[in-house]
Amino acid sequence: MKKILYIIAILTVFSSCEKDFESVYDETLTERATGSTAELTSLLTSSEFGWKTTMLLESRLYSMGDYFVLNFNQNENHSNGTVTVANVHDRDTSEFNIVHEEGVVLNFNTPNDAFYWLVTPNAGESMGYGNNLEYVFEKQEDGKLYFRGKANSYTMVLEKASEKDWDMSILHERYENFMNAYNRNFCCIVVTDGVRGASEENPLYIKLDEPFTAAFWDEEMAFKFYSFSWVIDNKYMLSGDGSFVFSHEAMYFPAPFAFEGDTINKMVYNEQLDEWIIDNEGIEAKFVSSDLPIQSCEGFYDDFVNTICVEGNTWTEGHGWLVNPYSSTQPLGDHISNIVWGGGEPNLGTVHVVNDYVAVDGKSLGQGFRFSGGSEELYAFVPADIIKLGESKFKFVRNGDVVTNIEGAAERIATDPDVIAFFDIMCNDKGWSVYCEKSDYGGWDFWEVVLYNIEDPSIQIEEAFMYE
Amino acid sequence: MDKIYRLIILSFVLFTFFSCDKEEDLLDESVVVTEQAYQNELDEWIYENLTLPYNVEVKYKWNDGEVDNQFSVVPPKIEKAKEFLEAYLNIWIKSYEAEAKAGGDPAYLHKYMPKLLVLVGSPAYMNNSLVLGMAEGGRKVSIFDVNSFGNFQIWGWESEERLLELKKDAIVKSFHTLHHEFAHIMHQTKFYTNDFKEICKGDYTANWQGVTDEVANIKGFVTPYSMLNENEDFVEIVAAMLTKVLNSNEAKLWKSTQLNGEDGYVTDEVGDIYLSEWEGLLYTWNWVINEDTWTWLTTPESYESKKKFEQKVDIVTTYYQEKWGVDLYSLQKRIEAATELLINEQNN
Repeated sequence: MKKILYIIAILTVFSSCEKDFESVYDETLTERATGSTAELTSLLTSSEFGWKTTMLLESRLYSMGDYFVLNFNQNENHSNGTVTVANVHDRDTSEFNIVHEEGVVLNFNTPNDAFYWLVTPNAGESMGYGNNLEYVFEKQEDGKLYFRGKANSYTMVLEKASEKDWDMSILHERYENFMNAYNRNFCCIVVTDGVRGASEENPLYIKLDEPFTAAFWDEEMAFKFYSFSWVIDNKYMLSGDGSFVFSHEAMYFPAPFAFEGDTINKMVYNEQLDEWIIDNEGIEAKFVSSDLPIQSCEGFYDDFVNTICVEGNTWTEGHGWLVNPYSSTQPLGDHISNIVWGGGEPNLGTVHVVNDYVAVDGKSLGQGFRFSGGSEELYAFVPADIIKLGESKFKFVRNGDVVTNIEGAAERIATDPDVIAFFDIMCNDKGWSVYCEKSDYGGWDFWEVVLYNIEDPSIQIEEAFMYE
Repeated sequence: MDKIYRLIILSFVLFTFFSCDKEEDLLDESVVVTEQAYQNELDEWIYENLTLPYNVEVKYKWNDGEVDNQFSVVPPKIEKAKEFLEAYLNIWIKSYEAEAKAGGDPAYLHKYMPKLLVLVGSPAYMNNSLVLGMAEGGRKVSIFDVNSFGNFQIWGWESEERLLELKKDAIVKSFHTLHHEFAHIMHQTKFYTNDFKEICKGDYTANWQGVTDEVANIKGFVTPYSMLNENEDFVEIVAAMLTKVLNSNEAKLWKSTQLNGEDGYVTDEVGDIYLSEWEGLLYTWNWVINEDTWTWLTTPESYESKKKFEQKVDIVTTYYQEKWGVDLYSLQKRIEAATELLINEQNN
């Protein structure tokens, strides 16, 4: 019995040495690696008109993005070749290769002017704007190819493109159309339904501005940036800074307007109406732009007449509003400068817009323009009514002869070309429309005011006022 | 019982033999997957002009294995890479090659020059500073910001002559890293004398980043980075000599400038003097501004700093001449001439 047991034990030892595993794969490692890169190459080159993708990215400072159409061309039978990428601004051909590392990786391995702008670092965004040079292939699903960015895990989804997708002329036209509107003095999205409190009668204005940081790091790209700002319940709110993304389907705002669960992040162009309409479900809104303020500033006319034209600028101590040449765009700034510093005789040292003006000799002169003659005692007053046209619209209308104690001042005011041009602009028939932002600054009212000449909105006067 | 033991021992002996049995042959193919890369015109140019004659490999396409993962960078634009490499061949390689031949040791350049050049398009932004060059073990040198190669600020009022000078300067300065790293290879292969290490002993510091150019100069260093240690000091002098080469072939007139006296102190005497860029650096090294009169003066400290720097320059130039047969002043001239020639060729 013992012998039998020993024999069994010995047989067990030998049988344990038997090779009892089989190769898991039918192919070698090399074959598998080559096969997987070849498979992705084949997928990428299989679509007749290539692929398209809309990227909405996050970087440290910005929400950026772009719409790309890509066409891959294989180099003979290798897993590399050239890729042509187009967006609304550019089209460029560069190289790609596909390697087997941590999975199958698609490398955009030489610069492409269209694709690289979202990858290239700059002094502000030292990691670039969120795009990747290397994408790990994840899956093919419903005809779409899914990739994960190697540097920041962004998911790029490539969808089959059509011949039409390569036609950027329509997109470029829309881009031009939008940018012409965006480059006007005021842009906003006017919401009439779908966001709290917004209605036809009481719309919500969401302002679009070029953020001040945009040009700081990369001046050439500044035009691509925007940010939203809005006021709800007297609270001023601001979105992040982002870039516009133009695709054939829609125009996207990667940094959206978001409030109490309502989001605005895309709009479409309506050719018949020639309007940009917000394309988010449940929200009625459209994009509008103008060279004049879109929103009126409640109560500004009264503030202007009763406070600014009486108390004046913070430093002018009750002599009315000093019209400063440095605060005025041309040609108004030059005219004021020539009047007050041009050496004309008699001296007209400053010009103020005044209300309830009482001259040093006790004359009550009311509303108008007051020139000083180089001292507090000398004045030349040009009477003018400040006529209300709206909450923040008014015009100046001259209504009488010059009252002055400066010899020759009336004649100079009547004949000096700069004075004449000054009054032509200030007292233009259509008047002035005002944009005003009011804020509390340590217990003081702080008003940032810009007056827009309604006849020619490029003529502006920008001032800041502070009242206790 | 003996039989049983014998049987067991026999079994283990047999088992031992079986366990050594070679069950599987090694694969007859490599597990390293290689793929024939896409070859463009620049790849062919590199092969013909750099790889074949000089055994230099250039990587300018994205390869994440070649750049430190902490950097977020992009590869250079093809046209800028080409521009840089043409300058590298004509200004860096050929100038050294000619000087090596003139010095009687033509082989040293081919033997010791960095064999792998990695070009990166953008700078690497890191802790509020820019990385513009890196080297690994004398074999590999990475040059960053190639997309800005040869770029310089134009204000609009510069003369044609000044624009040419700015262009030359921008190109020449792009090779600072290569001069710096090659100098490391030189002194690691043949040592310089210990006298060099004594001159600024005590002023070397790991905190060189907090030092301004002015403070470095007044201590006898050409750059703050020179203050890291003696070897960096040595190679920074070489790199400075080979990147401050303007007017090496024809000295420039410094009109109505204060003149140095025989005692090495700057005087109030004003006159004309002809100097190259490098000579100008040495000539004015000891000048500090007199804030009362807004004229230059020499202080005992600035006088000493110049003496120290001149001693180090002497050791460096003597070392290059004696150990390698390289006249650094002659190399300055070659680099300037090659840069001018390249610009002229590009303009034509």
